[in-house]
Amino acid sequence: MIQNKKTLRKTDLAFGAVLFVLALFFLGKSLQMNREAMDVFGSVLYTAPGFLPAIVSIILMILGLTLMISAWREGARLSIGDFRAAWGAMKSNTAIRIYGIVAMFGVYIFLLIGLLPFAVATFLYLFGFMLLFKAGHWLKLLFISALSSLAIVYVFQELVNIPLP
Amino acid sequence: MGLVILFEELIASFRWDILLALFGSVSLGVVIGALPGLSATIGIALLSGLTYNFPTELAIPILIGIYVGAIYGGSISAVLINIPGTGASAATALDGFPLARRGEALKALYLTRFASFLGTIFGIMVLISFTPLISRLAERSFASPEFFLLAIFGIIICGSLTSEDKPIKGWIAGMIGLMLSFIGLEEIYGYQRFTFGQPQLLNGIEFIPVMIGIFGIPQIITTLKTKPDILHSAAQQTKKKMGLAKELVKNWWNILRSGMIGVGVGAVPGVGEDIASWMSYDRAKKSSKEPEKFGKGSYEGIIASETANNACIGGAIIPLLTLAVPGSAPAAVLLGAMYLHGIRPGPMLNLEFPRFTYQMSAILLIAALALLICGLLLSGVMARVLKVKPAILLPLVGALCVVGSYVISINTFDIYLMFIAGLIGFVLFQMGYPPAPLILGLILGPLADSNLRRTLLESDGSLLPFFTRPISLIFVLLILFSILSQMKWWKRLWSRKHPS
Repeated sequence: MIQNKKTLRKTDLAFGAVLFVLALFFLGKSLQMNREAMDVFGSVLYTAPGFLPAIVSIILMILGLTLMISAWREGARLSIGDFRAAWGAMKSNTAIRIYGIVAMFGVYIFLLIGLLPFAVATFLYLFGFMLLFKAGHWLKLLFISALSSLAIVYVFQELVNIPLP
Repeated sequence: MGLVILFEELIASFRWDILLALFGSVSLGVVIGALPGLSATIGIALLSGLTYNFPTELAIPILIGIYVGAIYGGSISAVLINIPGTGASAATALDGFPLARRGEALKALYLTRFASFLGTIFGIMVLISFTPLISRLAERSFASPEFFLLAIFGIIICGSLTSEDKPIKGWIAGMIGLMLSFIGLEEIYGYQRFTFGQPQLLNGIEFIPVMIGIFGIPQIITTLKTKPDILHSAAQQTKKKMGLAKELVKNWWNILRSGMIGVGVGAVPGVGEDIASWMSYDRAKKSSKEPEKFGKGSYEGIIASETANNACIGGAIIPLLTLAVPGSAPAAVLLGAMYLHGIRPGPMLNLEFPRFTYQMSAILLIAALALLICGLLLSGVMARVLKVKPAILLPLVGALCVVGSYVISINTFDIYLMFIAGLIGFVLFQMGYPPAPLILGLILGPLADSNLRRTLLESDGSLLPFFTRPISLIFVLLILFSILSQMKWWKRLWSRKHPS
């Protein structure tokens, strides 16, 4: 969790607004659903498919608004400088490590799985991940990745008959 | 009568496959709990997917084994490297590590294990004493209005209690979970809700991939986003006599009190093992004859915290089985796993599966025994396992997340869902939104939706049933109290009336 209270309240202000807009969109969709159900199925409002979604959307709008007001009262204000600071934070070492983790997962899930057999895809992902995060000597990592991917395939596919992607 | 059924279930559970599953899962749970970055919640979420194809009589013991093992396992790293493997063992580290540094690592580990064992047993006793009573009451008085309000109460209370920042964030997470549960074909008219023309969304959002993603991915990112420190192990034991029995007898009241605190805290929906261990540690310190030893290596401290966090398991399972409202985050995930295997905890559980509470208790009892034995075997090995670098371990967890989310419907879309849920979970976690209420909202959403509409259909749109039925009214008041008690003006009013 973000430890700096000031930054946290600023994100509350921004997220409250995003939540309000999204909830408003879903409220519109829910009301449209209710109208259609009443026209097509002749249902009454309280049994219509969008009845509870509409209520939850209204609750989310209220919660979003409350979050914004509470952050505002605690002194949160958004300025151009905040966006610049956020942009700066997105180029920090920690952020780069996060991109690395997400990219490794992304490549594994969206590219390697489906393109290659699961054991090969998993081996490449594990080896790449460990190498990127400097988990040890490359030869050791090669051995660990190969052994782990084979173990996963053997245990799940052969031993307990679970189909793998 | 209850004890007789428990005994029968205990004998029935003594099958080689169940015993193997329990011993294996408890050992795996201990390893999961001990490794910083992994927790009981992640362990259960992951294994829920991986055991999907298993028969229920094996899958449930495996998940219970992981739960019991992981809650204890956190104490191993707390004692040996001063990093609690799980939040539940944070209080244990305060005294466990100083004990290990002065050469009493093994004694500390033995004591934490016995305390965990006794805590689990205490939890089971309370579980079999109270669950049938609450179930009988719930069976008679629950109909559609109560089921709807129960689901809402579960989400609200879980949101209030699991949020580290503001309770409103827990409620928002719960409501987002509810919204997600509406996606797909609804059951009365077969209407497509929020599918946006995507055929993969017609069957709704599978909660297991979301659960695995939302607990697993943020943990992997959080652990690896900074370079981890080098771990310093203090795994030595001097040759002097340990005197374990003497220490346990001396602490009998501490154990009993911590067990009661653990079960009590566990039974409150959404609170969980972390709070139980801190409350019990605090109580032990306040009533100790040697409070100055706390934080410097006190046996009382580690016994109090470990008894309470394992007793919490039994406590957390009471509202889970009787009302379908989990007492902690791992219990929330366990609830999801039970749904996956066709077991619907709640007021109707006793009618559908009359012996299930006793089966669970018998499994918990064997898991506690397995913990005692496995813990003994694993103590030495764990010092080595803890040296495995997170950069080696966590990518492996990532691969298991992929397998776990795929097996539910053999659908690649669920892997994408897990990944996206994980990324959203990470962003929400950074902003202080707890994941447990979101998962609870996703699980309990259909229950809330169908029962609200059924209630209104039966009453011709009148809201009166929510206020004229006694249990409903109690839930309405509890929901209102849970919300109002978090308001600043309420707190001000309360502190003015109760200055102490």
